Amino acid sequence: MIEPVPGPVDAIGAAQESLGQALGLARAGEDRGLAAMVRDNGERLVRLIQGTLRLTRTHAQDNDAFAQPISELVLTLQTMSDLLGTLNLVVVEDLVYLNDIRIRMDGESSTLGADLRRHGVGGVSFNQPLDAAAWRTLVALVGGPPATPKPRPALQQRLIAEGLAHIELLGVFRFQTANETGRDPLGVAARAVAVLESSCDNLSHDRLPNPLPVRRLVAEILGSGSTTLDSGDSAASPYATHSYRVTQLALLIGAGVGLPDADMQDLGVAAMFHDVGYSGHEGATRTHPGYPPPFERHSTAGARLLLRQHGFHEAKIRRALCAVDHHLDFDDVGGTPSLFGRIVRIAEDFDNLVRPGGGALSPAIALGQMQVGACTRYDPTLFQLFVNAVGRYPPGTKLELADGTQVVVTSFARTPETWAQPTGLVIRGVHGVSRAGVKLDLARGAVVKRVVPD
Amino acid sequence: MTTEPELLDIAASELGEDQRLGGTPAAAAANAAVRALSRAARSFLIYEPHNEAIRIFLTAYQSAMTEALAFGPLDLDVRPFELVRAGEVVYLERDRDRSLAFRLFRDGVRTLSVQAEVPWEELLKLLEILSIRYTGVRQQEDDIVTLLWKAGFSKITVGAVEGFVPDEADDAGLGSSEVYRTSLGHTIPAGWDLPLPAPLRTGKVMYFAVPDEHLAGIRHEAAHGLPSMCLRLVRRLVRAVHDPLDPTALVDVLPVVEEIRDFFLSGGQPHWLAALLDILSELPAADQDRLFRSFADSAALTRIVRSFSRGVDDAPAELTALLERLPGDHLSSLMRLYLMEAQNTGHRRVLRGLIGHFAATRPAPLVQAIQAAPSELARDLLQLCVAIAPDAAPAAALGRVGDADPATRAVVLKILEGATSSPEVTQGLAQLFEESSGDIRLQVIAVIAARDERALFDALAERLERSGLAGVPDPEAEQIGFALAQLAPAQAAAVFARWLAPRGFLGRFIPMPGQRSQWWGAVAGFPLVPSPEAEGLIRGVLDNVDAPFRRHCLHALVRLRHAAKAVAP
Repeated sequence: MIEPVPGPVDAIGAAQESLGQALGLARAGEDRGLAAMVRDNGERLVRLIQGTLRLTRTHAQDNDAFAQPISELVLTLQTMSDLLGTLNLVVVEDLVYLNDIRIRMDGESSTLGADLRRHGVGGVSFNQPLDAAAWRTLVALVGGPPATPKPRPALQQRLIAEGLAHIELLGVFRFQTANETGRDPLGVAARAVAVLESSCDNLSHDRLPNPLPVRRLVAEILGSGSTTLDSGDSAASPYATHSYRVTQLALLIGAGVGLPDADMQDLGVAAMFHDVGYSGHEGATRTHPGYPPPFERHSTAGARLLLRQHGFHEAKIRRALCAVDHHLDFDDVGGTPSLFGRIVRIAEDFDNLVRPGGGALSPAIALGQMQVGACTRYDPTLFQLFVNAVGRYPPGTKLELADGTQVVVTSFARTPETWAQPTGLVIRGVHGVSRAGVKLDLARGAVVKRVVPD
Repeated sequence: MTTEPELLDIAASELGEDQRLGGTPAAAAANAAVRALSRAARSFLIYEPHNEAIRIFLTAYQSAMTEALAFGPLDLDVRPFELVRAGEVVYLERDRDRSLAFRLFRDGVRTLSVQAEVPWEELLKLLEILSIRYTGVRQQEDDIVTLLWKAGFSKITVGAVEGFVPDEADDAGLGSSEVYRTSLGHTIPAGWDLPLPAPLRTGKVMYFAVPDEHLAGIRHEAAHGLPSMCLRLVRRLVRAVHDPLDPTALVDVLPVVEEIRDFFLSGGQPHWLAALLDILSELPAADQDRLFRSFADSAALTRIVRSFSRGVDDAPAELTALLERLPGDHLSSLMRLYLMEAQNTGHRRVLRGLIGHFAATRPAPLVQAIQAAPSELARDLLQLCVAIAPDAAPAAALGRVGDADPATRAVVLKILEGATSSPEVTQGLAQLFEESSGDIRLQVIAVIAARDERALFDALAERLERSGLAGVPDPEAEQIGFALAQLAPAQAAAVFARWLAPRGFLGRFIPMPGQRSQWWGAVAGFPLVPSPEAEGLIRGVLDNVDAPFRRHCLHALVRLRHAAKAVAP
C-alpha cells in the first residue's frame, strides 16, 4: 500500500480535502443498519418470489415444494412491513425497486419483471403482511395464465375475490429521464399527496421515516414547473392537501429568494413534512394507543418523528427544525426562526386562513390580514416575496368585476406589471348570460370591483 | 523514494485497471479520461482521502480530462457495460463491480455530457458523486439521481432516470388504484392547526421588488447556516425536554445530538462544539456527564484530531479549552490515539500538543505510554516529557535504556545526563554503557564521568580488563581512561599502573592479547592523575607498540610534563 502523506497544500490537495469531507458526510448520513436490512431482505424477497413463481411451472399448487419458500416469504414480508409499512415493489427495465430503493440482484438479472408483465403488471403494493395461504394464492394467480384482453384488472379482481384486496397491482412503469417534457402537474400532485399520506401513515405506526420517495416527488414537482395548488385528488385528506399546498407556496417563496436546486428540494421535503407531528401519538400505554398531539405540541412531535431517521444529513436537520419552528413568530424571543421555518410559517398561515376547516377566508383577504404581521409574525423580506409571487388576488380568490361578472382566480402573479391582474375562470356571468368556465385574463381591460368574501 | 509513475502502477495494480481501448485519437483520449475517472472513483474504496495515491489519481483524472476535452465536448451514451462517444465505444468493462458504465446505467444515468470549458470544481463534484456510490454509501436521503440533480452542474449534463412513472400506455399508476387506500382519518386530530393566529386588521398589499442585497443575505443563510441550524435545533429540543407538558425526553434527543456532535467534530471547528456544550449545559447534571463523556471518547477524539490536523502545527488553543470542559481521562485516550495515528505526522503534531497540555500536570500516563511506544514515538514523547514535565522525564527515560534504537538511546542519555543522582539513574547508565556501542557508548562514558558516577568505576575498568582478544576501539579505551581518572584519581592511578606493568618476559616487549586496550586507556588517563611512576610506565611500552600508539604515548608524555610544570613551585 502507498503510504499516507500530510495535509494538502494545493488545488489537488484541496480536492482531496473536499472529497474526503464529502465522503465523510455521506457516510455520516448513512443508516447502515437500515440500508443493509432493506438490501438483504429486499433481495431475499425478490428471489423468493421469483423462485416460487418458477415452481408453479413444474409443481402443482399443493406440492410440498412450496412450503419452505412460502414460509420464508411470510417471514421476510412480515419483517419488512414491520419496519417500512406498505411495501411498493416495482420492476422497471429489469431493475427492482423496493419503496424507491433499488435492490441489488448480485450477479443476475431479475426475472420478476417478465413474470409480472405477462399480466400487464409493473409492481405490487403489499399494504399488509401476508400469511401462507395468501402467498400461495398470489403465487398461483401470478404464475397462472394471464387473462385477455385486460390482464391486470382481471388479476386484481381475482385477488379481491380471494379476499386479498390489500394487495395492489401497479401498472407497467418506465423510467422518466431528466428534463422530460409533458408531465401532468395534477398527476404529480396526486402522487405527491398519496406518497405523503403513506409516509405519515408509516410514521403514525412507529415506522422509520423514509424521505426518499417524498424527495423524488418534490424533484418531480420542481421539474414539472407546476405551481398549481390543486392537489389533483378529490379523495385526498384535507391534511394531506394542506401539506401539499403549503409545499407549493413555500417553493414559490424559495424560488423568489433564488435558492439553489438542492435547497429547493430540501425546502419542499421540509414543507411536505411540516405538520407530520399530528401523525404521532402521545400518552400511549400497553392498553391504549395514545392520542395525536394537540396543536401546541405538534411541532416538537414532528421533530421527534423526523429525527427517528438515523444518520446525519443537512436535509434532516432542516426538516426537523422546520417542524419545530414553523409556528414561531419572526420576532420570537428565542431568536429568529430558521429560514425554512420562516418560509413555511407564511405558507402555513396563508393556507390555514383560506382552507375549509380553517379560516375559510378569501385568499385576497387572508393576504391582507397577514400583511400587518410582516416584521412581527413574518419575515418581512420573505413575506414580500410571497406577496409578489401569489399576486394581489391569489388563486382561489373570487372577484366581482366592474361589469358584474364573477371570476375565481386561477393564476399566481405572472409579471410585476400584471401583479394585480391574474387570470381567472368565470363563475357567474351578467345579464343572464352564462359564461361559467370561460377563461379571462384580467390584464386585458378587466376592472376588479371587489373581492367576494368566501 | 517511489516516483509518481511507480506509485500509479502500484495503485493501479491494487485497484485493477480498466480496459485500454484504441480508435480515433479523440476516442483514445476519451477512453483515458473515463478510465481515469473510474479509477479515481474506485480509489476511495481502498485508500484514505489523504493518501498520496488519491492525489495521483486526481492529478491523472484532471490531466486526462483536459486532454480528452481538447477534442471537444465529451458526450457519452451510457450502456450497461459500455460508454459510447460519437458512435465509438470509449469504455468497456464487463466486470460489474468495477465497471463505471454498469454503475451509471444501474443508477439510472443514460447520458453524460461534459462541455469543453467545464470547470475543475464540476469535474470534482462528478467524481464525488460517483465515489460515494463506489464506496457503497447508500443514503436514505439521496440517491444518485437526487445527488446529480442537486449538484447544479452548469457544464455537465446528465441524462438520468429521475424515477419511474406509469407507462403512458398503461391505465393506472402508483397509488392510483382505488382498491386499497391508506386512510389517515383516524390519526390526525380534527382541529389540526387550530386555533388560527389572532386576526389582525387588514393591511394594504403591494408589489415591491425586493432588493437583491436582501436576498443575498437569505441565500447566504441557506448556504452557510448548517452549524447554526444544528445548534438551534438542539436548543429547541432541550427546551422541549425541560417543558413538563411536552413528552419529548432526553432519549428522543440524544441520537441527533450525537450526530451533530460528530458533524462538528468532523468539521474541525471547536467553537461550534463549545456552543453545543453551552446549550447542553442546561440539561440535568447526570445527563450532562453521560453526554459530555461521549464528546471526548476514543471515537470522538479520533475525529477531533483528524479534522483539526489540517494545516496546523499544534493543537489549537480553543481545542484544548474545549477538552478541558469535558469529563473523562483525555490523556490516556490521547496517548492511545497517538500510538494509533503514528503514521500521520500532521495528526501526531496536534496530538503531541494536546498530550503536552494534559500531561503537564499529570505525566504518569505519558510515562506509561513511553514504555509501550515504538522507538520513534518513544523518542518524540520523551522529548515532549522533558519539555512539559522534566521531573518525570528520567523515570520515563529509564524505561527505555534498553531500546535498540541508537537515536532513542541518545535521547535517553541526554535526559539521564541532567537527572538527579539516584541508584536507578546509575543503574540506567550502567545498562546503557553495557548495551550501547560506537558514539553512544563514548557519550555514555563521558556522561558517567561528568556526573561523577563513582559506582561505575569498576564497570568501566572491567570493560577494558575483560574485553578479550579483540579489545575495544582505541577511542573508547581512551575515553574510559579519562573517565576513570576523573572518577577516582588515586584508584585510577593504581589501576593504570597495574595495566602498564610488564607481565612476564614477552610482556615487556609486546602487549599481551587484550592488553592493548588497557595500555591505551592507562596512557590516556595517567596524565590526569600524575604519579611518579607514570612516565616510566608509559616509556616502558613506548618501544613495543605501533606508530599510532607511539604517538598516543608521546602525547601523554607531553601532557605529563605540562602537568608536572603546573604543579612545580
